[in-house]
Amino acid sequence: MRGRLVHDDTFRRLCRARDFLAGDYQSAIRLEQAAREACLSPFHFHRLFTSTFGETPHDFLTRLRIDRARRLLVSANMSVTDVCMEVGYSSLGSFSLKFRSVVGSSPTDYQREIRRIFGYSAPWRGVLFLPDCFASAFGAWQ
Amino acid sequence: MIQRMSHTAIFVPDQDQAKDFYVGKLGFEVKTDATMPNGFRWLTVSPKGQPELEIILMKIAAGPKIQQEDVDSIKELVGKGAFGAGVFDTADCRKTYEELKARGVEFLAPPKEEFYGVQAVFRDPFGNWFSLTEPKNQ
Repeated sequence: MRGRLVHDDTFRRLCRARDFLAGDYQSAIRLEQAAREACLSPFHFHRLFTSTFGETPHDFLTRLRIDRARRLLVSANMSVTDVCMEVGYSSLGSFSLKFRSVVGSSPTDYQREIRRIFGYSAPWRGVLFLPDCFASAFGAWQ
Repeated sequence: MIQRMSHTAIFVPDQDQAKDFYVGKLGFEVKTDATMPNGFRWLTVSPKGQPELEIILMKIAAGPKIQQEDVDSIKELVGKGAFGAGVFDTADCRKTYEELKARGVEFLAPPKEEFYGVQAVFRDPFGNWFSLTEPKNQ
């Protein structure tokens, strides 16, 4: 049996709130504002957002921030501190802890490892999930 | 044990047109849009309600496994509607049908009551076709 779908109107409102959060993900999390976008109470918004999208609003924002941080660390000439500020963390310690918990290594170690493996010419390969079977079959690396 | 599918592919002759359709008309979101130095483009999109599933909009092009004559054959088969690429779920088939039609999506069949729910059928600009299903007893 397929999972239940949320009511069409509710889904639209949740998407609107999700887009609202994504539009300014560097800012402090504003659950109440997002809930208002969805015309829901914060409690119901949090519950419905999580059950519909498979992650909490906070986890959604964290994922956006860390994904952006990974790209900046490998492709922009930015220090870890600058990347931390750019993606919306005010504390380098908090950023590093969160980055490590999501990615599995510190921002510094991650940046160093990607550059060691892929060099400075193609560091983006470290952040791009392109299964090698597809890359080989369709000539991505030719 | 396999737990889930993370990626599936739809073959398209033109990735810009495909992005316009799947993102601009169907409302999906871009997950990755990266072009390699040799021109290969890895373009994936997801329905907003299923962000963990990436649909690869794979260009039909000659490569290590596909010869040029294969390219022409695949394009022809896709154009003929030889492939049903999948089923998309909606909580309101009739409403979504009207919305997508207004955006210019071509439907092969309007909403119709089936034993499993309400179903319409639409196609992308290239011929890949999909069921749009409102499951019964959601």
